[in-house]
Amino acid sequence: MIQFESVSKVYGSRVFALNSVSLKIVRSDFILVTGSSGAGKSTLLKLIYGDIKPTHGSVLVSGQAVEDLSGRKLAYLRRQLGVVFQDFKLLWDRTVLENVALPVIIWNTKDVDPYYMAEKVMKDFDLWKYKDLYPYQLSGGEQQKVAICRALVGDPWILVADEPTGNLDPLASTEIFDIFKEASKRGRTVVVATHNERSISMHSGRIVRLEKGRLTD
Amino acid sequence: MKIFNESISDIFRHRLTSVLFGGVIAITVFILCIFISVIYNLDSIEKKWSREVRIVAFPSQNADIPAVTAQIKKVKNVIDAVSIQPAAVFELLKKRFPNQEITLSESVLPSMIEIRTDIHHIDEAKIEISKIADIEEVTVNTAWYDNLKNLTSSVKYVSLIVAGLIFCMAALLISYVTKLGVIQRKPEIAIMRFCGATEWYIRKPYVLTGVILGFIGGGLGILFYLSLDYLMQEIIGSFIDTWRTGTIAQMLFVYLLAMLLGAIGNFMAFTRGDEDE
Repeated sequence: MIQFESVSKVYGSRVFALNSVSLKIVRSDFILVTGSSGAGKSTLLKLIYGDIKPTHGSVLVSGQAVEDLSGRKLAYLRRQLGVVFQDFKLLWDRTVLENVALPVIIWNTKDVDPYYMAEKVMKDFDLWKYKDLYPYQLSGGEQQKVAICRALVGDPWILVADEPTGNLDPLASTEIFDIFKEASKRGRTVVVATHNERSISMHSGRIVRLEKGRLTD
Repeated sequence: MKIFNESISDIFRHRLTSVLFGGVIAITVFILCIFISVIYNLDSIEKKWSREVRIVAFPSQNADIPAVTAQIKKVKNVIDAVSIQPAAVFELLKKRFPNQEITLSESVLPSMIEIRTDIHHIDEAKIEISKIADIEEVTVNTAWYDNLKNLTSSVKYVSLIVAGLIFCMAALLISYVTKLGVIQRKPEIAIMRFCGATEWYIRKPYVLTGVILGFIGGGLGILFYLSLDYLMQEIIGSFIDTWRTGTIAQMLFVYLLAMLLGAIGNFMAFTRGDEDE
């Protein structure tokens, strides 16, 4: 479960990115976080994966207060999460296979072959044929699929995506949202920040709206 | 092995930075070697001169000189004792100054015993010797040696401080050089963090790269030093016959220091690059 307890995030001395946000996200939830630019969507997601700390309040992920974690503990928490970004954040000097396998390589778990794990997830997404290519040789939609594969390779229970379709055409966007739906059906908690109106209108799950750092409903 | 390979490819990927890094270490090691060599040689000069400090004991007129000398030799910390007979000295003076025959018609010199002791226990030895029955007077002049010792100590301390400063400056310089590489790799580091990498996992290859460059740069620095030392011995060896090259242990120490310098430099660079994020 992810829980926000009266969370505020202030940048500088008076810019409230989030203002007293309380929110509960249970397992298998598929939540869209929407709002205009600067509403605090990215801040909310960054708080979940511990990229920033709240100014006030607490963010609990799996019962652990993220703001209290540092170093190794934060790294281990991030292993339970898969993060997807608008700009994909792929390593351009490594092949698609190496990019997907990266988290498992980093975790260095005994008796686990990172490339076998990557192969499995890439085959699910029909990306295996691109395994030896470099990210720049793929289209935007394919690059985002590679990024999602990387996020899913370690079988995380939370998938966080920040404007994952921001750089994609409508067709690719639909495909990406279908992947998230599928991930949610398989028991993962999916939190997606977006202002893609089409996706919002088609979404049957929970929608969290933010405006000037506050929840509107 | 994987991390080692990663570090090697990182060195080649950032060639310019690596050359700068290795160069700074080589120069630092070279300077450190010179300082260590100076300190080492000052030590040996001091030791050599310490052996020249003598206690002079004057026995009474009727003393049995060989017996007294033997007694002195038994005193703790005494290395050697030699009696100087006035007649022998008188003969030597007559040979040296033949025109002074009238003045030097008879020996007026007293008998004396020159005593070599452990320099660190010279005062204790002096006290013990003065307790011997047939000894009238004991003198020792250590002022010149004390002055020399003060001078060499001052030079040594200054050298150590300068060497320490050079080490710190080199670490800082290396951290700046490496910071460029860290900035280049910032996006990659951020991705690794999101994927659950621990700080040590991210730092490990950097630290190892520092050690490898320290190894290469340190080797070059020692090679420069040995070449210079060889040249100096060829050129001025005849003037400074006591000059010695640093020992293998000293060179190994500097080599280890170079690798440590590389590791510290890279570790610092990473921390600094990280703070800027």
